Amino acid sequence: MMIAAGLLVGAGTRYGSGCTSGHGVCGLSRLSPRSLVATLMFMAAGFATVFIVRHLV
Amino acid sequence: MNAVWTFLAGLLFGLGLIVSGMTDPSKIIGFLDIAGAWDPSLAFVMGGAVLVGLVAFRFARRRTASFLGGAMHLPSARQIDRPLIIGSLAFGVGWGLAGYCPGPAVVAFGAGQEQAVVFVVAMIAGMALYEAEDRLLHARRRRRIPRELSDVAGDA
Repeated sequence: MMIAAGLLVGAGTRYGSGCTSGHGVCGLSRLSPRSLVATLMFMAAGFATVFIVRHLV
Repeated sequence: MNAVWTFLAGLLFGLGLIVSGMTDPSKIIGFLDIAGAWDPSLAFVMGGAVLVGLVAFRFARRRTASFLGGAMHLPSARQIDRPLIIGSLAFGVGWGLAGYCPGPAVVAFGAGQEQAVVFVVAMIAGMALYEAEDRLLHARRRRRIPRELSDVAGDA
């Protein structure tokens, strides 16, 4: 689980050019539309993943 | 001297993550679990950080050099494209599975949290995989475009 998660976070950070700090904090601080989209995307994916793991599986 | 300031900035960032509880994966999962006992801490941490950032980046935008004398490298990309969306979605799935994102994971790694060690090693492997795939794609694209065509494209 940790290995799969790490691979996803590592590749996702590079492919999406940012993470929670990069897009979520710095990008939103710069009022970047790209970062707003990225933040909404990883928040949505995070909420959905936890919902599936915690409440459906 | 620059290295000292860089170190202090990292120290402050890491301390902030520890004090705010963001290095504890259960806090992150608690925030992402809206259908359970929702823990809104992360939203406040992020909101507070953005407030500081709004002021700091407004100031940074007007400068041509950083305090340490280096060139300012503020992102200039504007396009909302597939890599941004797919990458962020993949990131979110991994974030939800582990409760770690890169910054807090590195701090937790330093604290010797066993799961964080596994996560960080896998995360670096994920970054390396991206690099390898990216290089392969570029090499293939270069080979596929005939010289005449790429010259024309270069002129345009």
